[in-house]
Order: sequence, then C-alpha cells, then structure tokens
Amino acid sequence: MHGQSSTTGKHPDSLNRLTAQAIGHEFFSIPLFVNFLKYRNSRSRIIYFSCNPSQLSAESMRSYSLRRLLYLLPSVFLLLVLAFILIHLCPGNPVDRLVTSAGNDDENSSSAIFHQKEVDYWTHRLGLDLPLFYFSVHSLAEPDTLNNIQPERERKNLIELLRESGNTKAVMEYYQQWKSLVELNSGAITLQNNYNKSLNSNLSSLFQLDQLSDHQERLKNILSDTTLDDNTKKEIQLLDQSLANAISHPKFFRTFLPVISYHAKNQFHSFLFGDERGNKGIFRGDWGISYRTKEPVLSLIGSRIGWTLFFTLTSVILSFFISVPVALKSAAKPGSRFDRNSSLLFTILYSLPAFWLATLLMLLLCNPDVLNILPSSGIKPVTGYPTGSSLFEKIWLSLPYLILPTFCYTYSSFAFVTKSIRANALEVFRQDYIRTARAKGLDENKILWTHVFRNCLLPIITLFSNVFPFAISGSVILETVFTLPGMGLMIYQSVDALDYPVILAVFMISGLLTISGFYLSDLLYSRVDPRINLEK
Amino acid sequence: MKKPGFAFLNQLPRFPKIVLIVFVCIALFSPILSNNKPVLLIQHGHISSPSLFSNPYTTLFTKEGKPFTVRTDNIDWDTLQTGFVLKALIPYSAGQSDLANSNYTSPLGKQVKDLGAEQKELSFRNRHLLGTGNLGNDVLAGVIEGTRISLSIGLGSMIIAIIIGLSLGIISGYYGNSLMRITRIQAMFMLILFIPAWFLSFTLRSHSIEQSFAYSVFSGVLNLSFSGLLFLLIFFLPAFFINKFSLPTFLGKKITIPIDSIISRIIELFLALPRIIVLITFALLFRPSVFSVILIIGLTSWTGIARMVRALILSLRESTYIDAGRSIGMSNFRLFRKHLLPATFSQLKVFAVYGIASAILAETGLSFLGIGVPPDTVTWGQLLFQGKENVSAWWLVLFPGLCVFLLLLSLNMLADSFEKKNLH
Repeated sequence: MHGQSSTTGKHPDSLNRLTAQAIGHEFFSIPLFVNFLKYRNSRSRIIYFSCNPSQLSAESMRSYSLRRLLYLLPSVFLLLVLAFILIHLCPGNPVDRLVTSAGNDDENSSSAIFHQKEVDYWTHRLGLDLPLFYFSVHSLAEPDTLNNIQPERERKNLIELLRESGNTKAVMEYYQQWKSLVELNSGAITLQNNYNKSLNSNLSSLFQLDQLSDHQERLKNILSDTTLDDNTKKEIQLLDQSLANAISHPKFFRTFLPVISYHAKNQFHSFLFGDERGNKGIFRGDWGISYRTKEPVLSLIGSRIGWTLFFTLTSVILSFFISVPVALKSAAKPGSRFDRNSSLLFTILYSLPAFWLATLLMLLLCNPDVLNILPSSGIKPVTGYPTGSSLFEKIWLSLPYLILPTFCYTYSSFAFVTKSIRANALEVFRQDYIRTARAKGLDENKILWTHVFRNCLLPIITLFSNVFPFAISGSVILETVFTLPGMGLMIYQSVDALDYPVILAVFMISGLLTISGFYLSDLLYSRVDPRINLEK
Repeated sequence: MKKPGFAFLNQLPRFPKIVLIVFVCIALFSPILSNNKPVLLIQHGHISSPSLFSNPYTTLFTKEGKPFTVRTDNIDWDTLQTGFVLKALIPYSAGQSDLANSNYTSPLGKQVKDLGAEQKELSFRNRHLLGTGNLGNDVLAGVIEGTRISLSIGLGSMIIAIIIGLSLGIISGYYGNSLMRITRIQAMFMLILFIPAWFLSFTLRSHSIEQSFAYSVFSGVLNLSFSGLLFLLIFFLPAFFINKFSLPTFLGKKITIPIDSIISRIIELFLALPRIIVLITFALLFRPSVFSVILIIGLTSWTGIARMVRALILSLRESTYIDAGRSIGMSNFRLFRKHLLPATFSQLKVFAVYGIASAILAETGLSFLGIGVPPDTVTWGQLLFQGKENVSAWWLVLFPGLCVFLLLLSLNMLADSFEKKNLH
C-alpha cells in the first residue's frame, strides 16, 4: 500500500496540499487549516539546519524529481481532458460568437453570402467539422462521416432520424435529396413569386424536426398547398417517397449495435497539438481566441497579469511580516492571553468577507458625503501620469490607489498563515533541543528566532509555491470592486460577455501552474529536509 | 441512560450557538416573518393562512360568505374590512417592489405611504426598517429570505460534498493500492462490457439528457444519474455474478487495481484548480438556479473531506480492531458502517462546519458578481450587489454584509471549538 503513488497522503507534503488554498481566502477557498498535525506521518517534519542539504546524493535527487515529474503527467492529462470537455459543454455555438456579420433572411443577398462564407471559415478554422475525440462510440446506423454535416442542429436531428429508423442508406438518401432541393430552391427564390418563400422556409426548416413522423406530416402539409407548380410538386413527392421508404424499411437492430471508430484527425488532437488549419494547439501556446476582442487569449492574459502579480506578491509578503511574529509569540505560550486574543481577532478578520469590507471601506473613505480621502477605483489618476514623470513620481501618484486594495487583499490570510505557522512552531517547541537550549539558559528571544523560526519555515515554502495560481486568477471580486486592471477584472468581464475561451484558458493555466507549484514545493521540501525519504 | 436529544447544544460555545439558533429560526420561519400576505385571516368563520403558500392568488370571502380570488400583491390589508387580519411581522415579501418608496429609501429618512401628492408618512408598523433598494424592495425582507437561501445552499452543498468526499476517501483509504482485487475473468468482462455499457447508457440517451438539461438543471441531473446507474449496472453486474461460479485457475487469478492512486490523482486535479474559476466556469454551464448553485459548490468542495477521510482510514485500517473484525469474517461493508465510518465523524464535523461557512461565502460572492442564482432570487449577495451600484445606499451594504459576517464568524468559531476538542 505504500506504493509509489501514495505521496499525496503519507508523504510530508500532505501539508503542502492542505495549504494549497492558503493565500486565496478571498477566492473562497475552503479553510483547510484544520489540525493537519494529526494526519501527518509519524516522521516529524522539522528541519535541522545543522544538517547539510548537500549531503543528499545528486543522483537520488535527480531520480526523485524525474519520478515525481512522471506522476504529474496523468494529472496534466486529466486537467486538459476536463478543460476540453468543458469547452464543448459551453452553451451556444462558438461560430455564432466569432462571426461579425449578421445573418440575413434574404438568403441570396451579398451580405448573406458573405455571412455564410464567414460561418464556413470559422467552422473550418475551429475544426468543428471534425469528430471530437480519437475514438467515438456510435450505433451501426450512423455513418462515421456525419461530422461533415453542418450546422450542428441539422446533424443532431439527422442522427435522431438515423437512430429511429436504423436504415442508414434510406435516411441518408432522403437527407441528400432534401439538401439538394433546398439549395436549388434558395437559388431560385429571387426569380419566383412570393408563395415560394413560405414553401422555402417550410422546407429548409425541415431538419429542425427530430422525428420521422413529424417530417412526414410537414411534407404532407407542403404537398397540400394547391398553389405549387408541377415541377416542385414532383420533386417534393419524390422526397416524400424516399422518406416513406426509410419509414417502411426500418432496421432496428442496427440502432442497438455499438461501433467504435478511430479518427486520426479530431478536435482533441488539434486542441493539444494543433493542425494545418491555423490552430497551433495548446502545447505551442495557442489557448484559443477571445470572443470579445477576437485576439488570442494568451496575449490578453499577458497584458493583464502585471497588476495581479503585484497585488498577490505584496499581500503574501505583508501577511508573512505580520503573521510570523504573532504566530511565534502565541506558540511560545500556548493558551496565554495574547494567544487567545490574537486567534480570536484573526478568526474575526477571517470571517469578514473581503468584498463586504472593501465596499464598506469605499463607502467610508471614498465617499464625498462622509470622508473623501482615498480614490475609489482604478490604479492611477484618471488623467494619467503627467508627462515626463519619473518612476518614483508614478509610484507616489499611484500610492493612494493601492492602499485599500492591498489591505483587503492581505487581511484575510492572516488567520490562515498564523495558524499554520503556529501549529508548526508548537511542535518545534516540544523538541528536545529546545528544552536543552532552555536548560542552558539561552535567552527566550534567541530561542524563538534562531531555533524555532528557522525550523518552521516549511509552510512558507508551501505558501510561496502556491502563489502562482492565484497570480493567474487573482481576486475576481476585489478587482471588480476596486476596478483594478488585472486578471480578476478580466475574468469578470469575460463572464459578463460569456467569453468562454478566456475563462477556460485561465482555468487551464491556473491548473497547470498549481500542479507545477506542487511539484516545485515537493522538490524544495526534499531539498530542505534531508530526512524526507526520496526512495518512497 | 440516554441523553435528551438537544443535550449537545449545551456543549457548544455560547456566542456561535445563539447566533446560529437565531439564523436557523429566521430561515425556518421566514414565510411567517416577512410576507405581504397575512399570517392569519379570519373571515366570517373561514380561517386561513395565505402566507404559508407561495400562490400569488388568495381566496377571500364576501360578507355573504361567497368566495372570490384576488391577486394579493395589490391588496392593502389595512383597509380590508371583511374580518380579522394578522399581518406578518414584516409586511413585505422579498423582492416585492413598493413603488412609493422606490429608488433607495433610507431607513432613517422619510418613507411615504403612496405616490399621491400628500406625501403621507408611513406608519411605524409599515415602515421599511432597513430601508429599500432600487425598486422599493424591502431590505429586511430580503435579508430574511437571504438567510433561508444561504443556509439551504450551505447545508445542501455540504451534503453533496460529504457524500462524494466520504465515499471516495473511504474507498481509497481502505482498499489502498493493494486490497482491491478482481479476478481475470471479471476484468475481461468489464473490458468487454465497457463499450456496450457506454453506448446504451450515454450515446443512445444523449438526446434525452440534453433536452432535460435544457428543461431544468434538476431534471438534467436526474436523467444523467439514471444514465450513470444504467452504466454501472451493465458494467458491473455480470462481473459481479461471474465470480459466483467456480472458475478455472487461469481465469480465477487475481489482479489488483491501484484504486488509491486513481482517486488521489482525481483529488490532486481538483485541488489544482482555483475554486473561484471552477465555480464561475460551472456556473456558466448551468442555467442559473438555487439548485445549480448547490450542485456547483457541492461538486467543488469535497476534496478536503476526501483527503482527510483517506488519511484517517489509512491509519485506522492497520489497527487491531479492524484486523479482529476482519478475522471474525465481517464483511467490508459492515466494517465500514460499524467501525470506520463512526471514527471519521469527529473530524468530519470540523470540515463540514468550515465547509458550510465557505459555501455560504462562495454563494454570496457569486451573487455579488451577478453569477449563479437567477436575478429574481433575493440573496444577501444580490442585495450587496445592489449596494455596490449606488454608493450612497449604505443600508444595502451594511445589513446583508453584517449577516454574512455574523454567520461566518459563528460557523468558524464553532468549527474552531470542535477542532480544539479533537486536539485534546
């Protein structure tokens, strides 16, 4: 059972996972600072700095890091599959979102032709006419070339018809006949009278129906129209006959026989590795096209990530500067008044929803009716920086804009960070070498800072390794409240515009970054704590 | 001697206990506490309580005792002369607009009775005690309705999370990488049956599943879980029964499934995704409703529980009493139910309470952004969202936010106290 992959729970990095969502309280992470001492290995996880890390053989380190890298692969693969599934579950047709020209009822006008061309271009470009995955399971009744049929609605209804009848040949014949008839009719419409318009719409919407009997009824309706000219009538009668053929010769058994088919070219393949149609695939940095701005998602993210990184890093550093001394002081005397008060205060801060406090502070401090001492939104003066101002002047001008967001970004992580460091420090205080140091009469402050502090640095590694994903996603709510031009605001705007590619790209990138963060912190752990057994 | 049912309440710290009891009571009695329909209506011997029903029409009686139906939101119950009317404590429903006091009326300012030129002041009984929002919606009524929705989202999503987390955690902790063993013939059956099972339960039913999701999230989930059950039936049942026959040695040989690794990878994947992104992504996929918010939050918050249960069971299964149970021939299920499951409860309590708090925070945050619940559902986050729109309406920010804060604080303190008890 101690198999190689049991790293997640038995390995000391269990703490690592528990603290994974540490910094992101305002991102509504689950508070996981539930006594993790209990689930740890019996091996204590305290670092002895007297032990030289370089004693580790380089070879075992290398093999460990390679093995750990192998464990990453299934997670990464699962993540990509999940993202791919989500992309295809998103409601609406991506082509409709990307096409700029409006569709037109009048199917022969030049704008309609342009529209159709654009639809065809995006369908081809996004690979929507390809099958989804390498393998597909379908019934014997469905030919495996169905994906060429566009639009999607038509294809789905055709599949329903095929499943209902089971007679592939007859139904496909019926479909082909219908298709050519519709094309013929829409070409002829400009020449003919008004009544053909209703016929045309009746006919072209035939494949909005998904049952054979409905089709038959619709055709009967069309035929009952006395104003039809003989030619058209004959053709529709032929269509009706082939439909009747499909109905009268059903092959039900074909519907219930599963078939697997393999597709070398498919959407998942293009999603990962790209294709010759202009997709480069995510492994080559193509993360999709934004519906809103029509530009590649990656460049959109690149233009926004700076401020989010700034706020995330500042808040992490600030919260450490405040939490570490408090945690050590309360761990030195557990149960003391300071310990109880600080933990109560931090619990209260932790329970304050960041977006509420942010709005309240804005009401108080940025309100012309109450106090108008801080600007309420943005990151720099509305008029921009004065021309020729130096970096220092720019920082000075931006400073009032940064105070509130930084505070709101920071305060809620106090409780978490303090609690995790305190739990660690408590265990260090129980060690023999601390008792020895005290018995020697060492100064309490010196014990605190040289012996305890250095030995409970591990959570800090963990927390820093988990900064990346939050740097990507940012705090959606805080950035929305303060209108900070970062990733969070971008996500909010994308949600507002139903811009799925951007959201899913952030979804994938943050997932990948967290997984690599886990990997890095595992390596760091084994680097810092030589007692972590790399062979396991 | 058996303790009385509510004895556990005495052991809780006082502050969270009181706050939670108050919130739960408000949630339970919300239809009586705030409603535009009367709690009690006595008309010529006909006693009714329209506030208990969400039907917008109420049956009233004329002096002759003839029933007639009216739409209740337009009635001024004070002027109704036909009988005894006991109005709700707050005579407004959540989301009901009072046009006379629309456009953000302050709780301290003047509140008028109707739109007429006289500008008569509202009586204290009818005042909007916490002010009104944009359309004259009463904030106090909204806060009361929000309590109900927040608590049900917190509880509902935690139930889903506990079901998923507990079952995955127990399976991966108990079986580990070596104990789940199946015979070769079973593996062969499963391999062969996978494609027919997938085909019959998902491929053929895809149209029906799609349609039911378009109808509502709940029916979609029901339909999907039916498909899942069908899949499991076709996939597992033959493999289950084939083991009852005596098998030749070649086919009867056992192979192990590294179930722990598989589940650990899934947990790792879910941990790797920032929760807000997952929530937003899933919220965009589903049609907005309270049920879909419960589902989304439940589906994203089981990882902590699964990890905790897994680690706990992993250490427990080595203990002698589990060995003893196994040696006297207890079935795996009985071991789970009698010995392993109860052992996780003390830790599960901590996770569940923290989980409820974070689910409530998540729901409030989502509706603060305008995602998740439908726009006509009144929640705390939705009130805060209205407050964000108008900077001068402090009452829209202060009161709902205070409720969120108090509820979160008491839940966190409760979880802290459970945690401390576990430590000692």
